[in-house]
Amino acid sequence: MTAAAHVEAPITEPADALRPESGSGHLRLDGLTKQFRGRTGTVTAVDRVDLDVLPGEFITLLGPSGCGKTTTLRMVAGFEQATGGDILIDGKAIGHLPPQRRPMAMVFQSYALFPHMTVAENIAYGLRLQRGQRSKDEIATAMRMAVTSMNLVGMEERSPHELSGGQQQRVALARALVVQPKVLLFDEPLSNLDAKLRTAMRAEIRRIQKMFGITSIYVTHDQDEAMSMSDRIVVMNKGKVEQVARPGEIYTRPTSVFVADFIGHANFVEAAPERIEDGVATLTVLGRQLTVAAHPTVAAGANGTFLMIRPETVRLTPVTSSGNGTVLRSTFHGPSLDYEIETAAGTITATEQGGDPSEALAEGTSVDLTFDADRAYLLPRD
Amino acid sequence: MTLLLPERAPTATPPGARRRRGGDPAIRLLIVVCVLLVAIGAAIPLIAVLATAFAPDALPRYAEFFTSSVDLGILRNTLVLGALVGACGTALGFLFAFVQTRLDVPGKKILHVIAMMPIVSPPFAVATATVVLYGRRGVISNGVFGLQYDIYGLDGLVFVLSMSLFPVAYLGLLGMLRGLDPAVEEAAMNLGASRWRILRTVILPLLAPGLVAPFLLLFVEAIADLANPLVLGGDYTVLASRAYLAVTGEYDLTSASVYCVILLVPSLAMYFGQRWWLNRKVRTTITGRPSGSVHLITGWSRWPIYGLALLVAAVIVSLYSTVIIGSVTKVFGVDNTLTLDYLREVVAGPGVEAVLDTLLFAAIATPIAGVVGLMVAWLVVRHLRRTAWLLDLGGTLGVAVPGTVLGIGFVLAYRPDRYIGDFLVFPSLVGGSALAAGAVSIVLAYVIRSLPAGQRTAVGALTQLHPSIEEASTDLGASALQTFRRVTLPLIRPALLTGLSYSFARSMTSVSTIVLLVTPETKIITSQVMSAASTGRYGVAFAYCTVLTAIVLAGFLVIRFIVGAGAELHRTATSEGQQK
Amino acid sequence: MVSIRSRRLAALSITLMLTASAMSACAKENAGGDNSATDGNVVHVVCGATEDWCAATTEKFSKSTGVKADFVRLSSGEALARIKAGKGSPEFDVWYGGPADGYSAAGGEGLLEPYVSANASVIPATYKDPTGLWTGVYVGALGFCSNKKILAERGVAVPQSWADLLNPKLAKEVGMAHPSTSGTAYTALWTQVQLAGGDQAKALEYMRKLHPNVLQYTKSGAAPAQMAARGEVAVGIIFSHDCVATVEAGFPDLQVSFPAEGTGYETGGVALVKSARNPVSGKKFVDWALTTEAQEIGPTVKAYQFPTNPDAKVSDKVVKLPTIKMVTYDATVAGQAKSALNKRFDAEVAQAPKS
Repeated sequence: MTAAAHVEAPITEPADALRPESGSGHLRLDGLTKQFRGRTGTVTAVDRVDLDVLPGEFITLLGPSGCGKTTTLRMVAGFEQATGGDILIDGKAIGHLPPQRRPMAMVFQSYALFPHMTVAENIAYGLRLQRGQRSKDEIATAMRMAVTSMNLVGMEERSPHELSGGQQQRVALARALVVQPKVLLFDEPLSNLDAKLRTAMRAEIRRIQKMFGITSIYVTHDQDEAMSMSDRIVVMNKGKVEQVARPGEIYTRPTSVFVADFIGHANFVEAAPERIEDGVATLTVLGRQLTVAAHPTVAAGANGTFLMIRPETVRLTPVTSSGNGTVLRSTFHGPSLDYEIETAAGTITATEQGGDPSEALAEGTSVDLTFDADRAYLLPRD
Repeated sequence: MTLLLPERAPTATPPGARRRRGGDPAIRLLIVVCVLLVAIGAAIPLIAVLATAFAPDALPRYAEFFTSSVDLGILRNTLVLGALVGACGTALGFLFAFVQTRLDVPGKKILHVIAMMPIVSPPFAVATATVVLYGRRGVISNGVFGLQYDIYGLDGLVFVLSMSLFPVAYLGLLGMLRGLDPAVEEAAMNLGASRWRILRTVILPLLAPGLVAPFLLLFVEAIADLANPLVLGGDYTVLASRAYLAVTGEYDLTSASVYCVILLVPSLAMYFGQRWWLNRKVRTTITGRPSGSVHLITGWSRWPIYGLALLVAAVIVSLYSTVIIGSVTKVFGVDNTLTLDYLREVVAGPGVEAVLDTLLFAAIATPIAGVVGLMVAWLVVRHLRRTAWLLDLGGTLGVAVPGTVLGIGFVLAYRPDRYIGDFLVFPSLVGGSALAAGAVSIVLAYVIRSLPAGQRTAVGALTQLHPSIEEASTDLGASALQTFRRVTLPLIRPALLTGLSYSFARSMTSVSTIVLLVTPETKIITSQVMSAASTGRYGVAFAYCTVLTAIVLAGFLVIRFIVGAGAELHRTATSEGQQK
Repeated sequence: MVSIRSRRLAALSITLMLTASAMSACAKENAGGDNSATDGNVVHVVCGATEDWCAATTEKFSKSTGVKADFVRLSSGEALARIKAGKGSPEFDVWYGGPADGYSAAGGEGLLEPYVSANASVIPATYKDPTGLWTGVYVGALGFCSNKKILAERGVAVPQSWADLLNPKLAKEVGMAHPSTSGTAYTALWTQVQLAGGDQAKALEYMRKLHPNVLQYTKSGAAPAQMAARGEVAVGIIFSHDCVATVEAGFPDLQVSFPAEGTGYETGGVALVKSARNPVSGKKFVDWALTTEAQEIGPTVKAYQFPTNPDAKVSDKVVKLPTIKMVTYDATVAGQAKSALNKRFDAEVAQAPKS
């Protein structure tokens, strides 16, 4: 990385000094694999992961703990050696490079701020390592910009332990950004913050990432975080990629029961398609014949396929007699009111937005249950 | 930061903490250097001893040993001594560390200095001073209290060894108590636990692995100790002194090797036992995100604890005062006339050669031992996987193997010149005819004997340092060595300081290995002390000890000046209040 | 990949060990022979006398002859062990001081170079080896070193015989060194053998009877003097000159006595080490050690042994040997029996329980 182009960057436009060089930051994972050899045999933590991350894109690796997302991130950073496949940046293979030679910077879960250095020293650390290429003034300028854009003015001389969690988080981010990495890596950076701060920091991280246009990979197990921040989400399970898609698509058109279940809440009703035409299946659920969108791999007459019904698409109408469901219980969540309904197809959850708990349907109430067939999706068995 | 938390096996470290950086030739070179040093300094001499001990003519000695009630008695004596010293020394160490970190009492700095004093003088001085003060005709035991206490034997040995060795436990536990996340204690306090209850249910269980470590260390050092059984043993014979007698008195290297092997078994058993123990419980407390603050005990309950510590401190002071007074009086306790003859003999007479030689060798050995210990620890904790334990074990041999055994190993392995054909490949290192008149082997012995101190402190500190702090640095573009220098080193500086200081003190005061290696041209203070004391010239012995202590203390200051004081990682309750 | 490298490291370690083993096979010892041509005009002395005496002697030697000299002080057994360890490539040229028993034992193992000094002719025949393996430089009688104050407290008179030492009132009040390391203690042990008419079993039996009264077998022969001086023990079995020296050092309560049955004595030797690197200088040292100049150094540094050179002046403080009853003491025979007898002592006496 050369910094010559940024020498004259005015302080008022911090973005320029921190933005990566144009046209860079295209990250590709090509069959990336990691196997650990343990006492009981070989464990495949990451299994042939392919991924194409476009320059400036914000991608989230999402999955339950142990799904291989952190290992994938650490392989990208170079902290773990891949046992197969390769990592490419802008078409150049970097899998053989040690971490310090890779144009990336990571924000750690524990922040990993250097406790023996001040905020300023922490931020300038990466820059000072490039002393051969950067003058003292440049370092100071870049550091000041990072401090300014990260709202850390006035805290430069403090020790990390004198900062609040959010401030520590911002220092960690500034420290990573200031070295102008081509790719920014986040390892569950918000998991140590309280809920409110977490929400605020999500927006903050996204804002900064967009401002600088840095390709980012963000690891989290919090689907809410993933949905709200990402350009695309990579859902991982047991070392494999389950689905890569934009948040909306992941939600409405998951490729597996696992993804559907992991992202948001979903009801699954076992239903065999009677006919499939152009990706539209005809089937009978709760005594009604419907047409719903179907996953491409679902074939007509297949057994054990599941219809995904999101709770918020379910509508309940109280009836005096012979509805297709009975209210088991209701739960109030503030913005919404949840019902559990017993039906012939099993227990189905329904969410009523803005429901008033004082007017909730009583236990045992007989209801007529319908749902929005356009937003349902037929999935194959996993 | 924990100073003396010993080794942990690869599985104990969080995933990713230990990984290879295949592309870094510096690391590779480092590994080769460390392996070579450990091999030459410890492994090969040990192998030489083992080869002698398992030679065919040695085998009948084992049958003899295990059927003789006298020999079995010596083995039992050795183990009992180790266990008692381990327990007493660890208790003393904990007492002082607890007072230091958790009590709101005056004079803690002085107490710290007093607790460190035993490190800086050869155990021999303590034993001699003990005889003078607390012996049958002791100035205090007999002179003040009119007792005629027979200090020779197990009780005297436990007293002297605990007093001499407990600083090791103290330093380790001090670091651990400081490194304990105060939030854990705050949590307990928050749940309504009393101070005493917190100590019992939170601090002690958290420290348990750390208590095992010093116990083990003291155990091993106690059973390896030579000087004290020679002075104070009475009829309480232990393996180390028996082996020493076999070498120095009879030059029966076979019997000596057999005793050594039998002595090695409990040492190594303890070593592996504690490794296994530590593998089960790992606590990382420095994550780069400190929380909470230390609360000091202010209630009345601090006074009895403090009083106990003061009493022990008073005993230590009395022992060292005796050394100093003994060096400037004709015969302390009998003829208290002041005289400077003894000191003059040491610093301006025949002793000056030994003082200068010792100083030179220790000055060479200390930085090597400190740096290599640190490097070995760093490689073991962060860079090696399957072979970590091997290097770790090798580096620890200097303390696990009794000094006498190591000395014998040096003699066996390095006395002759080594030829391949007619070509000299490895010159003789031991004896007056050796390379640099034997100085090389003395320096090597110093390095190997004091290496484990630095290594253990560094391993402890590194294990507590969350790997992501180092990863953050690497990630920002620092090479492995840059990371080490800019991040790891400053964070474990207290450990380095301790390690170097301890290495220096150990070098300067090491006896058992060295007495077998001194030559006419390389005289060493400790062997002069032993010589003077064993011929009854206590005044001269005390004078040497006084000079030695002064040198070691000066050395500490120099090391502190070079390395710098440690970083303070935790706030105290008051300073936090000011910040908010 | 990880394990490949680990294996490589393990292989490296193993290679190193193998190299080491291979190297030991190639260990080559100096074939010995005459090093006269390479004499460095320096002499390395292993010295069995007190530190002061060793220092004064080497210094004076250098001054008189212009040959540089340095020394290491080691107890008799230790010195023997060190010389044995250096066999073939010795680090010392000369052994000076300490009982001749040790010299004789060393000679028996071929560790010493016979050398009959021209100056040895004046030394009485009892104080030198006929073949020149060693030559006596001083003589000292074994005695009891008693602390009068302690004895008075115990109600025991100053011991005048070996039998007196067995008094149960002296339990743990006798100091003695271990014969394995200390030439002094071995002299005491061999004296018992002589008193028993050469019966080693009987001598060991006496030692067993004495054992409950011995506080501790020290490493150095002179240490019991210090212990007696401090009152740690009531009586020390040591060379009388060491006791005198301790009185001189400021312990007036001490008193020397000699056993009525007869006592042993040491002949302090000087000898040339075999294959010494500086044989010419070594011989010069041996020659010089027999002169009156060398033998009159002792009393100046509180070493009150009796000189072997009849022409040397004898200090007032030196115990006059003709006045005490001595056993016949053949250092050569004593030396030959040393190793085996010490082993028996260690097994049968030193480690026995005291009750």
